[in-house]
Amino acid sequence: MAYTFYFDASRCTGCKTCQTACKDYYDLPLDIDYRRVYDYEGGSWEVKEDGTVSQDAYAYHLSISCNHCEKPACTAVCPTTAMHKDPETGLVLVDGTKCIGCGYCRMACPYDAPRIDRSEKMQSRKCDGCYERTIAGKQTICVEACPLRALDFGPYEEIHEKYGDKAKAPNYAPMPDMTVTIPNLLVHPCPSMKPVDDTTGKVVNLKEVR
Amino acid sequence: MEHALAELPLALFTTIGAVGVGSFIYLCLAIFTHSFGEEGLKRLDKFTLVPLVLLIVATICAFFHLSQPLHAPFILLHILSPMTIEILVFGVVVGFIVVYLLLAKFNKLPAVLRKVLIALIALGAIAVGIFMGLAYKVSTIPVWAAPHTPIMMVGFVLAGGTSLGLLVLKLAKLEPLSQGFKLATVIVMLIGLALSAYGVFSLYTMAQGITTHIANGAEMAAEMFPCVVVFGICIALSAILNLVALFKNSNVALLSVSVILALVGIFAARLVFYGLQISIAL
Repeated sequence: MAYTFYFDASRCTGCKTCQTACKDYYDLPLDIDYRRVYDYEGGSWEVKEDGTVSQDAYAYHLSISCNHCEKPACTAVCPTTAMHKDPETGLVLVDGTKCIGCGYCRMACPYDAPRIDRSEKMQSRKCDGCYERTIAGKQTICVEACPLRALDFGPYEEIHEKYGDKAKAPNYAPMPDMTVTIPNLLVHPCPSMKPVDDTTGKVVNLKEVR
Repeated sequence: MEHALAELPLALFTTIGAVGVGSFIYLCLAIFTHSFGEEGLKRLDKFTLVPLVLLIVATICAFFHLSQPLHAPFILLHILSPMTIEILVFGVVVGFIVVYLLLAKFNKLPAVLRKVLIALIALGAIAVGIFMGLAYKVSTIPVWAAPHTPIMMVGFVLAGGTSLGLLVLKLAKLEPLSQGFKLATVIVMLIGLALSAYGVFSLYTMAQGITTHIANGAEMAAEMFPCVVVFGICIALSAILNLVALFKNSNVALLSVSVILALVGIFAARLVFYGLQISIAL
């Protein structure tokens, strides 16, 4: 079974309740967020000959955590197998009893999901799909917290059936080409969402998400 | 620069480790091109502890990179991971050096075995360079995954080890050095300089051309430019001092300065490397 996240960009207002609820639930250190909301903006404006102004400016938000990829870059480089894919749930988990906290998982992950906790647990930490809650049949904290119902999480087939054609492959900026790690993430794009190879925009809240 | 400073222990490990193992290539050349006699070899073995101490310091630096050093034995669980291979190769070479020095200490190192062991260590030193580079073959960081990374590391081993190797020979008072050794040293050192210069230049120019949604390679490269200059100046000065030591006037102070210049230059280049960590996406 593969669990997958679903993100509806047309609903997300970038309020970061998902991020905050997760941080609170797991009592994360100041510099670690399992879920982050990226603000992606671009476009420009021009004054025409008749004095009117036209613009193609856009902005959208992307709420993202670990995508529990089918081909995880983090597990490939982990020297201890601490970063592993749970055979039962397909979730990518960190075994804290083996992790040496070397940070290679963070270097390799193109979604920047794993973080090294150098203040408390002294190991790599990241979203585990609320493993304990998931196996108990409960929903993840971020999904429950989202006031706009822009997030969902569940078995891939269930999510795919629930959202049908609305759920697209996550090939949108600022994410990488999905073929790199095959993330378990489905996205309903908002109209302004750009493809992965977009060069018109950039992430504008780097200090919040790094 | 933010990335570079975050990886200081790794920068120190790859710098000191490269210079430390590299010196054994020159000790190997010296042993193969001279007949030092029993007393000379004793002095050589005594001062061969200097690079071994450096390698121990490098290992300690590597441990500082880990948040959980006590879990380090678990690296054997993923034997094919790039980092595991790097550490294993480094460990095996250091192990060989320790065995070599112990055998020498207890007079159990006949000439043939000495040559076999030092040749294996010298080859191992090049392998350390290759695998230190391949440890960064991370497909999601194209600027690291390119061939220039292992090429650069081999260059650092060859170019950085020269001054330390010559210093050990000088401390052991093994003079005069033969013309054959001097020629071989110059050739290997120049190859090292060429490889390291190519590696740093290739890394730098590649990074300049990369722009992602969160990083501007040209801006990051510009920030690292002072380190590139420091690398160029220090590694060139170190090479000049080595040539002076080989062909003009060799003394411990001159070679010590050369070792420090090599360490500073390679460390600056390693900062450039870590500072140009540009992921394909986030």
